[in-house]
Parts: sequence; C-alpha cells; structure tokens
Amino acid sequence: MTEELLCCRGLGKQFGHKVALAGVDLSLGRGRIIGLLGPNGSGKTTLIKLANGLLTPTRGEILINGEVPGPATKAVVSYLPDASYLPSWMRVRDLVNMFDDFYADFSADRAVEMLSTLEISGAERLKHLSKGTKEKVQLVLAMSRQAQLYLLDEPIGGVDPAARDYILRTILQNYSAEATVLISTHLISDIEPVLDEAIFIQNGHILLHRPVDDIRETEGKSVDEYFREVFKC
Amino acid sequence: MLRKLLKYEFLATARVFGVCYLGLAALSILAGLSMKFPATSNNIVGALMLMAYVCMLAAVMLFTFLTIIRRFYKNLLGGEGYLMNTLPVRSWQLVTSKLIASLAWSAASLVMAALSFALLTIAAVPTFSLFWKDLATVWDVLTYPPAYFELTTGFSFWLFLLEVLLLLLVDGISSICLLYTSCMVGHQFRRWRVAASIIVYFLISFLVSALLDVLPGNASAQQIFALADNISLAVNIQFWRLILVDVVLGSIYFAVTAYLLEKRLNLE
Repeated sequence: MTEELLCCRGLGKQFGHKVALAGVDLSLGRGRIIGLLGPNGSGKTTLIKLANGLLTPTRGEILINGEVPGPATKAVVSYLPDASYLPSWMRVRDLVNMFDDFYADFSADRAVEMLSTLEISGAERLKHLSKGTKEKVQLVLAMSRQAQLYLLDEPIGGVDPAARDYILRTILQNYSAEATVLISTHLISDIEPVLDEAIFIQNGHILLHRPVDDIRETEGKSVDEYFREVFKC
Repeated sequence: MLRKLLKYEFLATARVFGVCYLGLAALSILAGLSMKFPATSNNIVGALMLMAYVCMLAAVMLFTFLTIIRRFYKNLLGGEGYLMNTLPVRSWQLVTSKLIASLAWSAASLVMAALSFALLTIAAVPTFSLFWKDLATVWDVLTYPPAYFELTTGFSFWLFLLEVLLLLLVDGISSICLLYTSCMVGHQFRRWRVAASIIVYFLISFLVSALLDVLPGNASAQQIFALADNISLAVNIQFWRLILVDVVLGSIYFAVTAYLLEKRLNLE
C-alpha cells in the first residue's frame, strides 16, 4: 500500500468552453479528514466525480492507490453524491441489501443500527421519504462501509442543524485510522472542528492545501475567517 | 457480480411488467367473454372490448421497447448512474445485465401476447366440447406443416425452426445493442443528448442497410425462388448470412457500448 491515497497530476476538465478544473496537482495521504472548500461552481463536485470515474478527464490523470478509477478503486472508495441518486422504487432495506451484495467492506448491521437511531424504517420506499431523510439514508449507506477513502459531496447541505451534528459524529465514529475523508462544503464553521487539512479551490484552481493548525498559527485566524478573507466578494 | 446485477435488474422491472401482463391477461379474458355474451350479430360491447384488447397488446409491446431504452438511459446515464457506475463492477457486466434482462422481457412479452390470444380464444368459444374439437383441429393444422415442409423442400423442419429461433435471438441482441450504442454515442455530446442518440440510431441503421445491400450473398425473394430446385439451400444461405451479420454487428455494438461506458462517461 503506497503512502499516497489520491493523486492528481495536471488534472483538467472542460465542459464545452467552460473550464471546471484547470490543471490540478494534488496529493492526499491516509488517515486525514480533509475539507474541500470553495464557493459554488469552483470545481469541488467535478473533482469528486472525476475520482469516482463518473467524469472523464479532459487532461492529466487522477489516481487512487496508483490506479485510474475502475472496479478496484470503486471497491475502496465510498461516495456520497450531492444529489439524490437512489432509485425511488426501492425500499430502504433493499438498498442496505444491495450495498451488502456489492461492497465487501459494507456492514449491514451498522447501517441498520444507524437507521434505527435516525428512526428511519427499512420498509419505507425512497419516493415516500423527505429530501432530508433521503440524504440521511445516503449518508448512512456511505458511512457503513470500511472504505479507504470517503468522498462526501456536501454531506450536510440539506439537513437541519441537529441532524448535521449527528452526521458529523457519525463520520468521525465510523472511519478507521487509515482512512481519509474528503468533505466538500461551503459550510465551513460546522466542519472546521473536525478537519485536519483544508483545500481551498476557486475557478478550477487549488489555491492552497495546508493543515488547519498551520493556517490558524500562521494566519492567526480560524479557517472560516480565513476562507471569508480569501474569497471576499 | 453479473448475477447480482441481474438480480437487481429484474427486481427493478418485474413489478411493472407483472402488472402489464396481468392487465393483458384480464383484458383478453374479458374481451373473449364479451364476444360470447350476448351472442348477437351486432355485439358492440364485444367489438369495443376486442379493440381495447388489441390496443393493450400494442401498448405492452411499446412498453417493452421503451423500458429497454429507459432502463439503460436512466439507470446508467441518468441520476441512478451515480449508484450504478460507482459499483465495483466492469462496464461490460453492467451492459450484459441490461441486455439479458431486455432479451428476457422481450421474449416474455411475445409469449404473453400468444398466451393472451389463446385465453381470448378459449373465453370466446361458445362451448367447451366445441373447444376441444377445435383444439384437435388446431393441433392437426399445427403439426401438418413440418411434414409438408419436409416433403416439399427435402429439408428438416426442426433444423429450420432452430435457425429461425437463432436468428430471432441474435437479431434481438444486435437490435438492443444498437439502441445502447446510440445512447452512448449521443451521450458524447454535451447538449441535446437524446436528440443526438436518435439521430445516431437512424444513421447507423441507414448505413447498415446500405452495407447489407452491397455485401455478397444479397438475394431477392425472386432470385431465391428462381433456384426452386434447391430452395432449402438458397433459404439456408440467406439465414446464415443474416445470422452472421447480426453476430458481427451485435459484437461491434456491444464492444463500443462497453468501451464508451468505461472510458468516456460524463455524468454532468
């Protein structure tokens, strides 16, 4: 197992004439919680989708454990998309079974336990759930895996503050010491306490990638304050 | 993994097809009965029910066709693609699971169409004694062609039937794979992906039919019958030619679909 978990070299993505990512070089290690922070349309989702093989790079490459996204990387990456993506006809328990069938690192017991804590019934069909509840189901599924890399795209965007705390606790409790969690968000103050590293991204460029302690020491302010300063309108 | 994919593919489609087939069966029995009672010469209800049955039959066929496309497009290239394309499986396995389920439902729809027609007939015949007598006649008629066929052509009926079924299968595979390829090529465009897919479909269909015209071995019915002294050979050549073409085209469509899904996916 190499020390480097995720690596981007000159990674570029264009949609027509619009540049979503402009030659990103990035290296993520193991055992960290990393915030991918940037305003809307900065390239956060594009980067995460590229890591999942849902988008094809226009230039450069993205590697996970030294491999391009494929079945081997998908087996060790747990992905939480920013939109609801689960088939609406399925019941919650069908989805638990499906994840159990396909992912060797999935724990159905843990998923069932988290669902019951959140008072979500396994018999419920997805189409009858509210948007917030659907997001919770998606998060439970993603965090019930013992993955090496969690890619969480806006995990707390659509839920109420109480659920937000539960979700962050869940993330902290469920990932192993060797795993890395990449959380994309613009709600920085909520996740700042749990972060080890921060990546600032704007217009498809990585502005900085530093440990949060380093930011606090050298800049003399919180990541949230620093973010507001850097991205001042 | 393929078996697991198939399991969820059938789970996703079984309910709607089940409802469709039950509806068709119910309507065929109702149509049959309403043609029997009242047994007057101008039975308007019976005629209307028969029309409803025919419409339902057409609807089931159309639904089968649309479901083949929808399952591929929505489940792999739409919102559910985020789930399916992040499963640790190869793209050819995804395509194969869709293909097998599509073939199975196409066959089931054809069988249900035949079955519903049988149900309608059974419900419509005035009395059962007559029905059994008719059934005997039907059986005679059905079993007559093989003997007649072999007598006139000197060619085994069952081998011929096997060829027909094989052609049906490979033609089904290549037709479905053409739909998939069209979706994947259309997906390479940034905008108007659905329109692009439809244009690609007609373009490929046109090119293939033009290609078939210039390929050796193309013969019209007249030319075949001109060889009347050895008609079975002529027909056989045509069958195997079509089977070969479908196998080649189907393989190309499948490979292109799996390649584009693996290497050129862009879920925006």
